[in-house]
Amino acid sequence: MLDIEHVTKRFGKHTAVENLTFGVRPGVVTGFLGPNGAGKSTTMRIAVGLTRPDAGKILINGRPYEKLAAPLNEVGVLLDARAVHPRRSAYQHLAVLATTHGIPLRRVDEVLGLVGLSEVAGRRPGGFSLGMSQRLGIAGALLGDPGIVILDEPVNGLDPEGIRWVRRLLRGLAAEGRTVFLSSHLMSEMALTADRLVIIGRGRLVADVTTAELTAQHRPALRVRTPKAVDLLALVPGAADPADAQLVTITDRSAEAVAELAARHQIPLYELTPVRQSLEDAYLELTHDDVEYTLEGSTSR
Amino acid sequence: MTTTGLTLPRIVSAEQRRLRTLRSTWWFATSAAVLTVAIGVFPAIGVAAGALPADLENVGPLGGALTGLSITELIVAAFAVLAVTAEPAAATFTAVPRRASVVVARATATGAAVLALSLALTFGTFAAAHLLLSSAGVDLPLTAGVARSLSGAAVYLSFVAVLGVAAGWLLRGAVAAIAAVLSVFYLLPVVGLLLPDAIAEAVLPWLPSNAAAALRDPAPTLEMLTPWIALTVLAAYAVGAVLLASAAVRRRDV
Ligand SMILES: Nc1ncnc2c1ncn2[C@@H]1O[C@H](COP(=O)(O)OP(=O)(O)O)[C@@H](O)[C@H]1O
Ligand SMILES: [Mg+2]
Repeated sequence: MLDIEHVTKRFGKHTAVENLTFGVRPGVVTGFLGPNGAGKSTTMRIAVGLTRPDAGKILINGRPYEKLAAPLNEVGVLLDARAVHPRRSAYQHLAVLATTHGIPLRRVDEVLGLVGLSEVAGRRPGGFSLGMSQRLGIAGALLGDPGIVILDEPVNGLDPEGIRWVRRLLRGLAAEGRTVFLSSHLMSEMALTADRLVIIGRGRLVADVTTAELTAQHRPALRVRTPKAVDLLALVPGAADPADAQLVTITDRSAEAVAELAARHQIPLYELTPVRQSLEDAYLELTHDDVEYTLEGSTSR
Repeated sequence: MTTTGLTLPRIVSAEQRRLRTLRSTWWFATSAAVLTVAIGVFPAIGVAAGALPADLENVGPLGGALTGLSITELIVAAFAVLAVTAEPAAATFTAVPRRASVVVARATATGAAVLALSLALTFGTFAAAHLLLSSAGVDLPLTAGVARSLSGAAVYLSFVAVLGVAAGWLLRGAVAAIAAVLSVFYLLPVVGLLLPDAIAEAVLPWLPSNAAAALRDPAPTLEMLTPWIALTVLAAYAVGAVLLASAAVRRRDV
C-alpha cells in the first residue's frame, strides 16, 4: 500500500508536482499515466526518498521510506535503468545491493534467471542494450522479494517479446497480492497491463479510474455511408454529416447490429467503418491541456 | 536464517564489495604499488650501484623509502574521489535510504583499503631498501621512530582517501574534488605562510599537511605536534569531513 498525500514539488519556479493525492492498493496493477514532463518520475523518486517534496508526504505501508528497516524487502524500485556503474558486472551490481540487506547471494542468481540475464551475469552493463538494462533494473527491483513494486517506464526499450514478458510478470505479481505501480506515457501500453489508472498532467491529478470505467466512458462509433441516410437514422441513434448527405455517424451500436438492421430494412451500405474513440483518444483528451511541450503545428487533437 | 535488513556492518561490507568488484580498483592498487616501490627504492639503488657514497646520511633513516609518497598520494586521491563520483547514487540510496550510513561506510571501506595497501607498501619499500643497502654494506635499522614514520605515512594516505571520499560527496565532480583534496595539502600551507608570524606559529602545526608531516617525518622538528596529537588531529579532520559530507548529502535531492 502506497499513500501519496498532498505532495508538491517545485524545481525553482517550475511546479513539477502539485498537491497530488492518491493511493495505490495491493492486488492490482496501477498504471501511472501522463505525458512526458507530467511529474511521474518525480513522484516516484519522492516515494523512495531520492527527492524531497516541498509539501506533503508519501507513505509506504504507513511509514516514510527512510524509516523502513529493510527497504529492498518492502519496495522494489526501477527508476533509471541506465543508472548503474557501467563497469561492474550485472551479478556484482546486484550482489552489492543484496549485501546491504544480508540477502543471500543465491537470490542474485535467482532474479538474474527470472529476468533472463543468467548468461550475461558476468558482463558489464555498460555494453547492455536498453532492453537488457531494463531487465537488470527489474531484477534489482525483485531482489528483496518486495510486497510493493514501483517501476518507471519499465517497457522502454523492450522488444514486443520483452513487453509481453513484463506485462505477464506484473500481472503475476499483482495476482500474488503485491502492490504494483508502474508509469508510462503511452495509454495503449497501460490499457493492456493496468487494472487502474492514475492519470496526471502538469503535476496535477487528472483522473483516477479503473481501466474498465475509462473504456466504458468512451464508446466506439460507426461511420456509415448510405444513400438512405435518413431511413437509417430513423432506426438507430446517430447524426448526419452536414457536409455529406450520404454520411452518418452512429453511436452505441456494433457494426454487426447496424449491418443486419440495414439488411433487414433493405438499406444499402457503401461503407461501414468503426471509428473507435480509443483509450488513447480518451487519454489525449484528458491531458491535452496539460501537455507541457507540444510540437509546433501539431497541437491538433 | 538470520533476518534480512539494513545494518551498518552489512552496509560497510557492501561498500567493500563495491570497491573490489571494479577492475579500476586493482589498476589503482597496481600503479600505486609499482610507483611507490620503484621511486622508493631509487635512492637505495643509487647507493648499491655505487652512484652515491655508502653512507646512511645520503638516504636518511628511512632509506629513502617514502620518496614516492607524493605520487602515491595523487593516486589515492583520484581513487577515493572516483569511488564516489563514478558511482550512480540513486541505486545506492534506494537500497540504503539512510544516506549518512552510506557516506560513513564508503569512507570506512575506502580508508581501510588504502590503509592496508599503504602499510604493505611503506614497509615493503623499506624492506627492499634495507636489502639493497645491506648489499652495499650499509645497515638500515628498523627503529621505533622508523616504524612510526612508515605507519604514519600509511595513516596519512588513508586520511587522503577519507578526504577524497568526503570531497567526492560534497563537490560531486571528480576534477573539482581531486583539486580540493590536493589544495588541502599544497595550497593551505601556502596560505598559512601569508599569516602574520604570531598567528602562523600557532596555526601552522595544526594544518592537515603539517599534522601529517609530524606523523610521517622520521625526525620531527620541535614546532611539530607530537605523533599522538597529530594522529588525533588527523582523525578529527577526517570525522569532520565525513560529517560535513553526510550533512550535505542528506539534505539534497539525488
Ligand atoms: N532535477 C530536476 N531539476 C529541474 N527540473 C526537473 C528536475 N526533475 C524533473 N524536473 C522537471 O519536472 C517536471 C516533471 O518531470 P518528470 O517527473 O521527470 O516527468 P515525467 O516522468 O512524467 O516525464 C518536468 O518539467 C521536468 O523538466
Ligand atoms: Mg519520467
